[in-house]
Amino acid sequence: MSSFFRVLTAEGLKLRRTLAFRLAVLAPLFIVILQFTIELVRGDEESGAPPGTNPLMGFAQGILTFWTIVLLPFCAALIAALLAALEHQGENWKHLLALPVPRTCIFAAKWIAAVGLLSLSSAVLVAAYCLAAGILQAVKPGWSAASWPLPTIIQRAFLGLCATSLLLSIQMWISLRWRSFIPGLAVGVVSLVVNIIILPAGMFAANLFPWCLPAIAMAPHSPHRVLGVAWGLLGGVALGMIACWDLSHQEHQ
Amino acid sequence: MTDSPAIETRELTRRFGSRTALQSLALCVPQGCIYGFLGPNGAGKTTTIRLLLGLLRPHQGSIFLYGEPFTWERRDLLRDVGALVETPSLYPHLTGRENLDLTRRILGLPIARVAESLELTGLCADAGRVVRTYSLGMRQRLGLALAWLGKPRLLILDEPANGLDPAGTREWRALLRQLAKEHQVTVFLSSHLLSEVEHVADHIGVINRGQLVFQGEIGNLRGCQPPLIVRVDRPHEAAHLLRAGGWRVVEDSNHALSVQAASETDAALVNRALVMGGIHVCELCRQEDTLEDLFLRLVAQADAGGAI
Ligand SMILES: Nc1ncnc2c1ncn2[C@@H]1O[C@H](COP(=O)(O)OP(=O)(O)OP(=O)(O)O)[C@@H](O)[C@H]1O
Ligand SMILES: [Mg+2]
Repeated sequence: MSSFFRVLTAEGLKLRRTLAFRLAVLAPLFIVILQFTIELVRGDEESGAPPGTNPLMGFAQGILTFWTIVLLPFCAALIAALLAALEHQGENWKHLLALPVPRTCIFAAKWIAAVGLLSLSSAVLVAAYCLAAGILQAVKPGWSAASWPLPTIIQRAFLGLCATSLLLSIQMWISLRWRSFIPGLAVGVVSLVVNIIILPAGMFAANLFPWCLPAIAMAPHSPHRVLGVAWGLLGGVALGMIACWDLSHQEHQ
Repeated sequence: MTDSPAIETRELTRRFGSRTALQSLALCVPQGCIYGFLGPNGAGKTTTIRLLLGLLRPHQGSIFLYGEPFTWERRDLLRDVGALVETPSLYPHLTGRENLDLTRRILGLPIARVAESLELTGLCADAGRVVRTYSLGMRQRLGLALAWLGKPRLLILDEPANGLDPAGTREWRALLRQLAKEHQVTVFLSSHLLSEVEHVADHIGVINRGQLVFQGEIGNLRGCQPPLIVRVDRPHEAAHLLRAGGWRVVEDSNHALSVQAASETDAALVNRALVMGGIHVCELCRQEDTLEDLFLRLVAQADAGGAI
C-alpha cells in the first residue's frame, strides 16, 4: 500500500504545468461563463422558464445539461489522452516500469490522477456556478428572492462524476495501451456523437451506453437514475481493475 | 551469494515474430567491473537490456541478478539496479530537480539523494530549469542522475554517450570510472562504438545478430599481440636470417618485415639477431591493432560460422 501512495504523490507532482491540469480547470469555467453571459444579456421574460420556477435552478440546469452531455465525456477523453501522453511521449514507461514497485500501483495511480482531475473539474464547476449565481442575483432584479439550490447541484454534480467512471476507464485503457492519442480521441468523439443521438431518443439502450450515463445520472426525473449511477460507478471500478491487470502484464517493447 | 556475478544469463532467447533477436545468450558480468557490451546496430543490445530490466519476457532461458533468479514477478530485485535505456526518460515540462524528485518519491528515498545525484552529474546550477530547455548532453547527464538516484549496486546503461561530443564523452567516461571506483558499482555499458568502451571497460562482451561472439577481460581480447614491424636496410637478407633463427617472418613493402614476436624479450632477441648479422635496423615497433580491427575480425568470424 505504501508503494501505491508513493507512486500517487509522484503522479501528483507530474501534473504540474500540464495541459491536463489546465483543461480540468478551464473547461468548467468555460461553460459557466458561457451560460452566465447568456443569462446576463437576456431579460427575465425571455428566459423561457415557466413563471414561478427558481431562476437559479434554471441557470444550474443549463450548465449541468451541457456539462454532462458534452463537456464531461469530452474532458474525460482528453484528460485520459493527455495523462497517457505524458508517459508515451518521453518513452517514460521504460523507466517507470523498471522501478522496483508493483506495476499495478503505477497504473492504478494513473487512474486515480484522472479521477482526481475530473473531481477537480466538478468542484470548479460548482464553485464557478456559485460565483456566477451570486453576481446574477445582485444584478438581475427578478432573481433576488430566489433560493439557492446548492445541495441539489452538488448532489447532481457528484452523481454525474460517479457515472463517468465507466467511460473514463474505457478511455484510460485505450489511451495507455496505444502510444498514439488518436484511438482514444476517436473513440471519445464517436461515442459523444452516438450519445447526442440516442440520449434524446429515449431508448433503453442509452441507460447502458457509458457515454450517456453522466446525463442520466444528473437528470432530475430519470427513471433509471440509480441504475445509471450504479452501472457507471461499479462498471468503471471493475473495468479499471481489469485494465490495470492487463496493462501490468503487457511487455514494453 | 556474495561472489555471484552481478548479471548472469543462461540460454537467454528472445524472438520478435519469426525474427530471433537473441539466441542462447550466456552473459556473465562479474561484480564491481565495468562491462562493455558491444555490438553493431540491431545486434540485440537493447533487447538484452530490456530483458534484464523486466520490460520484456524471455522466450527461453533465465536471468540471475546477484545470484537470484529474476522473473517477471520479482520486481523487488530491481532495487539494486539503476538504468538508462537509449534516451533518458524525462518529463520536459518539469525541472531537472522535479524529474529526480518524482523517482525519489516512488523509491521512497530521502530528499537529500536528489542533491547528491545532481552534484555528481554537475547539474546543480541548472536543476531549477525545465528539462525542455536542456541540451542533449544535459539530458543524458540527468538520465544518469536518475539511474544513480537509488545508489544501485548495478548500473545498466544503453548507449549513454549517444549524441555527445568528444568532450562530453570523455566527461562520461570519467564519471563512470568515478562511480565504479568510489562506490564499487558494477556498470553494464552497451555501445556500438568501441572507442567509447575500450577506455573504461575492464570486461567486454561482443554480440552480433543476437549471439555472443566474445566475452572476457579486455586484456584477453587484445591477448594475441600484434606483430613486430622491423624496418631494415636489406630486408631479404634480414628475413632469411630471422627465418633461420626460427622466427615467422612476412616481408612487407618499404623495406619492412613483420615478425611474430609476442613478448618484449622477443623483440630484443630479434634486434640482436639482426645486428649480429650485420643488418642495420632503422626502426622497430609494434603495429597497434585497435579493438576496432579485432571487433571486425570477431564479427566476420561469427558471420562465417566460425567460433572464437
Ligand atoms: N519491438 C520490436 N519488434 C520487432 N522487432 C524488434 C523489436 N525490438 C527489437 N527488434 C529487433 O530485434 C533486433 C535487435 O534489436 P535491438 O534494438 O536489441 O538492437 P541494438 O543492438 O540495440 O541496436 P542499436 O545499436 O541500433 O540500438 C533487431 O533486428 C530489431 O529489428
Ligand atoms: Mg539499441
